[in-house]
Amino acid sequence: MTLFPSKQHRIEQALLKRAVAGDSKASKEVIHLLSSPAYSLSWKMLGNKEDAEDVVQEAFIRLWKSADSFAGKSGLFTYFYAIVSNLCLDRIKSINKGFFEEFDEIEHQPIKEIEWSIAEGVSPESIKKAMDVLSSKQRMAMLMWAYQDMTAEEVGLAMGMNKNSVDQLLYRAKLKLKMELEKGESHASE
Amino acid sequence: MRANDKKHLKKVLDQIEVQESSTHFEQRIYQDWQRTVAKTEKPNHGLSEVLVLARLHPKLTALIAFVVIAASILLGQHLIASQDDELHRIDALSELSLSTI
Repeated sequence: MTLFPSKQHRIEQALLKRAVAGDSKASKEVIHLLSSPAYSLSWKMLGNKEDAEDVVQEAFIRLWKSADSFAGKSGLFTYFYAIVSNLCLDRIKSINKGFFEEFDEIEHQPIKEIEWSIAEGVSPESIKKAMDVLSSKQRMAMLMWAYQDMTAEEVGLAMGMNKNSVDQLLYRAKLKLKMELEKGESHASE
Repeated sequence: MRANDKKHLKKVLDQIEVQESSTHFEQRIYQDWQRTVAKTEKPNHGLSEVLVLARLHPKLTALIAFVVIAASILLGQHLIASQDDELHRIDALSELSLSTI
């Protein structure tokens, strides 16, 4: 995040302003730009079409209503993902009502290099299962960072965390995912 | 290290296939936009409608304003010139009537 909006951020800010002022061409451009990646992120978070579509639709309504607060200090994607991420986490909370979700420990541990030795042929089902083992925050951070190619700072902005906490969250998520994938692999080879 | 991590994880995560969204998904979002924006931007009277339109099309508004100002200047000049002609004509007529007397 910079103190002053970059040129790209100013363009995005102007586009959103036009959309909210009633310019249908601008609104279509914003929808086209954001809807598909946001849907993929929500789907990978929630695992079904209806929930993912509901979240993205609701996120757009919030975007139109809160457009004035978008100052262009972060990108439009980051701003929108913050809304999507909150809605996804809320939905998971409401689905898991009454169930215990693993608490993301806050104590910091030294981040070491992770050796990825998982074979290429891991089935998508095993990956999905391994992802489901992660806590919702870990899953969200992992998806934004690796799948949507956001930086740790951007993930932090979207999730309301500082960069160090995101690094820790990602590190624990990677360790857990690696462990689960290796477990899945050894089960498959037995 | 982190770049490699990311690449590897992206490859893994890309394998989870995303179910396609509904055919009219974007259309539904667009309709929501129409409802939300129409609710907040709906003008109450004619003047606000003009103001909303002006805000939406600033270039066109500037062009219209320029044309209106230019037309007013030309019309003003024309009126002043025609007034001078009229005065000259009245002068000539009064001189003529005086000379006849």
